[in-house]
Amino acid sequence: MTLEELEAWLADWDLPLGPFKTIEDVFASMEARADALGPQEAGALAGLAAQFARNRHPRTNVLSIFLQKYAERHPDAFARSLLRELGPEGPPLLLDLLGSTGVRSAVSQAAKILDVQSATADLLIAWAGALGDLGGAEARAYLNELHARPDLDEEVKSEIRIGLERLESGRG
Amino acid sequence: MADHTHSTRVAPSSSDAARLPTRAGMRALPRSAPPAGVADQQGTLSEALNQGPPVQSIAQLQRTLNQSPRVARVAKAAALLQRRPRATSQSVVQRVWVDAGRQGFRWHTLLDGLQWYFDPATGAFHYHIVDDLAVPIALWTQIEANEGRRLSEQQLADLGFQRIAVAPEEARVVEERSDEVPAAGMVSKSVSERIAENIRSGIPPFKPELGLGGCSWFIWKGHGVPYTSIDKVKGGGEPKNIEVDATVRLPEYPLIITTAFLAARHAMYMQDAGFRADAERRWRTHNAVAVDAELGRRQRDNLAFYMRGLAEHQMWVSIGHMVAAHPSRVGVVILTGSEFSKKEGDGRFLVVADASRIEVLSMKATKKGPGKK
Repeated sequence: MTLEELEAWLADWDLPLGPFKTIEDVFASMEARADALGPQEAGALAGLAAQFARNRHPRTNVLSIFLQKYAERHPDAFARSLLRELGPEGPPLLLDLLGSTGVRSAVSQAAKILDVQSATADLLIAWAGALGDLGGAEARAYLNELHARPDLDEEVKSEIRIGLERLESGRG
Repeated sequence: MADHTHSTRVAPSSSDAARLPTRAGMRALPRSAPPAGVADQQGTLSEALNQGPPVQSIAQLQRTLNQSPRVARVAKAAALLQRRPRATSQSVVQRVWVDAGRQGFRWHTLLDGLQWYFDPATGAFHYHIVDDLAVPIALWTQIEANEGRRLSEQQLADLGFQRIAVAPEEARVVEERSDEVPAAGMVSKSVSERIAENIRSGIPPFKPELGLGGCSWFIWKGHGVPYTSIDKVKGGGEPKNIEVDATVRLPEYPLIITTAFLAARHAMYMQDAGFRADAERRWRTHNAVAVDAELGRRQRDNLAFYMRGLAEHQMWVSIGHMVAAHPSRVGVVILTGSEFSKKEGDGRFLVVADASRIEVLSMKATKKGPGKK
């Protein structure tokens, strides 16, 4: 998996679609790629995700959608790789993807790496979203801890509330 | 620069007026354009539309106009123009000619009271208001929201049409249209075999009714290569790797779909509550997200991407439907710096619902996309 290969895929999947492709075609193509890539690609993909996020690559959103599908197929290998790339400041994309793996054991490891106290609103939103996705008692405790913090951005509060609701409803 | 924004009105003869429709009657008719030779009837039309009884169709109106002595004069002038050497056999849409019956010049005049021409230097379409009292333009664009009422100048500007003032001598730079234009398309091997069979059987090679929006789609060669996505479609179906080299015979007034119109149409879907609700329902089903689950930021981002893609496809399908419903049954989509064509993807699509206008010249296997060299 090289940067050039990945960029070619993303260009193909990105909008506009042109007259002869549907958005369902795009998702089917992403899913076929994610199926074809084995867990051995997890390290390279996590590294590229971090690079895209830090460089604010214009196709980061498309990459995120693709890697969410990859995360569902190879959760353990990808979670390990994402945690290796994760730093105190994120980037938030890695937390989004970590949530998609559904690997609950990643919660405590991520919590140790992140600097939640001085985190940006973006990072807190991603962290709250990931906790809601990953679920479990530990995730609930971290969400409650976040919820108790004063002076949080409204969007952060909203994401915490959604995360807690997901845990309550058993969807997280 | 002189501003020729007003036509000289010519009163219709009493016999013409008796057979022409009221304006109210005209509003219910699909938009059409007069055939060659009846172009200089704007004054006559506008007056007559206010006086006569309704007629059943545009074709009936045109037959009526063709019977008038003035039309014969106009046709003669048009014929004079056609004897001029042809300009480059590309482009489009208006043919300039001199009305020998008047001082000055006139272009083909549309029933919406606007005269149109194409500027080959800029690729822009321009319009010229010649009669504010003419039949509404609404059906020009077929935007449902505007149907039945005349578009304002600002609305036209929003759709990418520019108003200009034109002196007679400048009008002569307008390209003459070519009746047949070169077209390229990509089809699968099995479709190419059916095309070949149709040709052998002496029937039109394409079946537009089976295509996107009820049309066959081609790239108009010589005007760039707009993004089609066809050359990227691999897997999940038979690859479209047979390039079709064809010609499309243009009607007098194809439906012109501009870049700005595409943007407006896409925005129309994106702002439509029904469309958004349906798109969200489909996205939730595909991603197994409960209907009542509030979406987090990541999910909202994913849904937004899905919705934009779905709206784009709906937009293309609706363009096909518009062309299929248009009297000309041929459309030209002009992509200039469009968000709907990837970078360096300016160009034109020919969208054809009338199978008899398509002639296939050759077909060959290729790995390249349509129109690429």
